[in-house]
Amino acid sequence: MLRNLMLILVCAASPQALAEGDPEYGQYLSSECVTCHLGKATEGGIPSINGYDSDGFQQIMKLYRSKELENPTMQTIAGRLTDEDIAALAAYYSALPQPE
Amino acid sequence: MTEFSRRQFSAGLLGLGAVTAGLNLPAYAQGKKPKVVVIGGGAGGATAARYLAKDSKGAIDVTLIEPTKKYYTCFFSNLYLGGLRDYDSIGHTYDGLASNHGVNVVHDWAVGVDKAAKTVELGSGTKISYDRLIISPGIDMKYESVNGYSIEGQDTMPHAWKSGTQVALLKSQVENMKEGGTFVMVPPPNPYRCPPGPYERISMIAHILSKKNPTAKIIVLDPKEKFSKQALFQEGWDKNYPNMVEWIPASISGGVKNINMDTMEIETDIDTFKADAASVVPAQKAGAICDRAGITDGDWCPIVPASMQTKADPNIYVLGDASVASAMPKSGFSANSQAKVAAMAIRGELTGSKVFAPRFANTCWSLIDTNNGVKVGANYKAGEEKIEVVDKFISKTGESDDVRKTTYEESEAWYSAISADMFS
Repeated sequence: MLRNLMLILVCAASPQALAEGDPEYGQYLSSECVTCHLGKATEGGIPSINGYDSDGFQQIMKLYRSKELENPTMQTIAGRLTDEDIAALAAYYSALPQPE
Repeated sequence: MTEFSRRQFSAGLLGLGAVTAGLNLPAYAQGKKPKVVVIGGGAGGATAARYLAKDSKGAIDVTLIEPTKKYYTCFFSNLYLGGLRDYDSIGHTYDGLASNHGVNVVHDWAVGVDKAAKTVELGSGTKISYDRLIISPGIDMKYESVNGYSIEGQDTMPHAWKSGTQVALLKSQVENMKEGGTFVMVPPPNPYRCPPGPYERISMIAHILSKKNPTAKIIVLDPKEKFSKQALFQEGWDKNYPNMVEWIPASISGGVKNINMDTMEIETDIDTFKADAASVVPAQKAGAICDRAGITDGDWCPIVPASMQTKADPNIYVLGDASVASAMPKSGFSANSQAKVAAMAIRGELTGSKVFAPRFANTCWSLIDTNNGVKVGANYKAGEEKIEVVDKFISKTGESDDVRKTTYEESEAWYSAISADMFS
């Protein structure tokens, strides 16, 4: 479901490109994500975010941050992420292979 | 004493002057492979060992000391109790830490710490030296906090607060209660491991009894006046298990005055309750190795918020339930989060790797009934003196069945992910 949402968001994205982040910083920040997001494919619950498109990732996180997307856990996690943090996470996760 | 003055002091003592300042260089600068010893293979210790070994890529020698060969998680043990999870599914070995990351896993008890010599003594008598030590032993019970309860009585009225066989025993006792019998739960006073845990346990026992023994009763003799997720649990008990659960705070009962383990009677000011099965969870304190290491202040271990370094010794770090983590609850999620902060700080000290600003997080999911999950959580920052809340959330009463099912499915996914984050 989230992946479909991501595709919709990517299609609806504004033409301006989103920031390029620092993957090393993103790897550090990702240690907070991996407590819940498994690196391999999962059934329901919490999706794997490995291999996400960078722009889509950033848009989703910003929608959680502004509370336009529901889920209080993600709203809280995204709530303290800066644009730089989100770009770094997107750079790190988008470079990982998608789960099979 | 500052780092500078300590160096001067060492040099002066040895009479060798400034050329010996190198004695205080970090291990990596001296060309030695630094050693980190981790005591305790739970959510704090296993995560710390894994991150230290994984992220240092062999530059740090990591030893994990854990007596059990198979670790049964406390989190989700209530789901096993409620018949919603197999016992085997909450058990994990340390094989992945050894084979994937080169962690030296030693199955023994840590019985002493020599801070001056920087060694850990094992039950076998072996001593293991360290440059940095992480202590993550979880909790010990203060059996004497409940009159009449004792370590010998823990199989009669299991606390079942360290997962494993005690939970299996409690499950059997609940399932074999006589028809229309009474289960008595005595939760612990604050602070304790897993704040919503006693109330999820009550929910899961109600779940079993509502199917197998629907006229049975559950009496909760709480030493507290309020508890975690209270409105959510009480709404759930009223809706899903009507007239089965009676929660009695200490302001009404006067608290538990005495327990007679032979007659299964629990005495309070208002009544003496005869239990057909019971779970008594006493007050708690940091695992005994913390006292032996001399790092406790009262029952728990004070820490430096930015690194989880103990205030008693700059070479020792404390994680999870044993630490005074202020706003963070004593939970597996918290311990896992703290472990990553400590591992990063230690790696920075020992190998010169980059250290980013610490970040902490926690979410505690609880199950009220099948597909009826609720959650509470927060993220945190390191303040000067304490770990402080940045933002927090909690499930709402009156949520739809769909939201509760989604929350439960989240918890299942989290269990898989955190288990991998600890053991894979």
